[in-house]
Amino acid sequence: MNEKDFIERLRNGDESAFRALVDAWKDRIYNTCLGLVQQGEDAEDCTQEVFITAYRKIGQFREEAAVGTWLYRVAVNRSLDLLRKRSREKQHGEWIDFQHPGVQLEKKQDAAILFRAIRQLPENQKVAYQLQQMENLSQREIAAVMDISESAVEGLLQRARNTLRKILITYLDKNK
Amino acid sequence: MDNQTPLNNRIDEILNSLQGMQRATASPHLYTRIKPALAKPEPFWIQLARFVSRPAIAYSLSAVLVLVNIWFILSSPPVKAEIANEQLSTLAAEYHLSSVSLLDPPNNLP
Repeated sequence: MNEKDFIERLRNGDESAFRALVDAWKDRIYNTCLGLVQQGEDAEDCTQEVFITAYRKIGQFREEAAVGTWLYRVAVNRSLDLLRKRSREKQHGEWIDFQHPGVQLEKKQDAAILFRAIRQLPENQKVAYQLQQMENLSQREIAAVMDISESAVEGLLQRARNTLRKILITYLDKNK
Repeated sequence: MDNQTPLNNRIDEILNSLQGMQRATASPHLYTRIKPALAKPEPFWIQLARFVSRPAIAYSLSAVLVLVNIWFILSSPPVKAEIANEQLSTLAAEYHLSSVSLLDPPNNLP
């Protein structure tokens, strides 16, 4: 079945089509949310909200984008909303180090330091960097998700790497 | 310079720590959790906000507002300038309004 027919079934409220969509995309959406919100429970909530939104808003889905791109976009927006809400509520709260379950055992400590540094990136850089690192998306795919040009994505990724280097230099200097 | 290389190597090590990572997997019960929420109707205000925020509806409403404003402006009778001026001068005379300058003598009236 092609994507157009599949979307038509989703629009008609076909439950088996929706279930197939959830099964096909749940891990990618959860992983994206997890990378951005860096907390398991929030990532679960975010994933649920993404699919509920998809179910309710499928009528507004523009077919010039792929359904996956659209889901990633909803996931990114939901995650950023959650992060903004969290930063309002816990302005001075302590962050707990995040351990991603998929990181190799010998790299877990370094990954926790990196995730802590990623939290300090500006939103756009954070999204572009996470989509590349966590989901292995190409610059073209990231551009489609973020609705910006490929050259803008390239710039964001470059700036993200430079900012991360600066943050890590400061961190390593402090923790000698 | 000698100190920079180990530091750079360490930073590269940290930056490369996500390489080869596995994708995290969502709960196998995700669909079961989503299903009740799908059956629940959306609150009225959210439905209304969603309807009004559709581009076609939002543009149409804006166009209607602009047209209503234009209609009001065109249909209201023009204010006669002479009458308005006359009313203003009567008001100014009644309340002794005049331009005040720093060079005016001070008003010593009780």
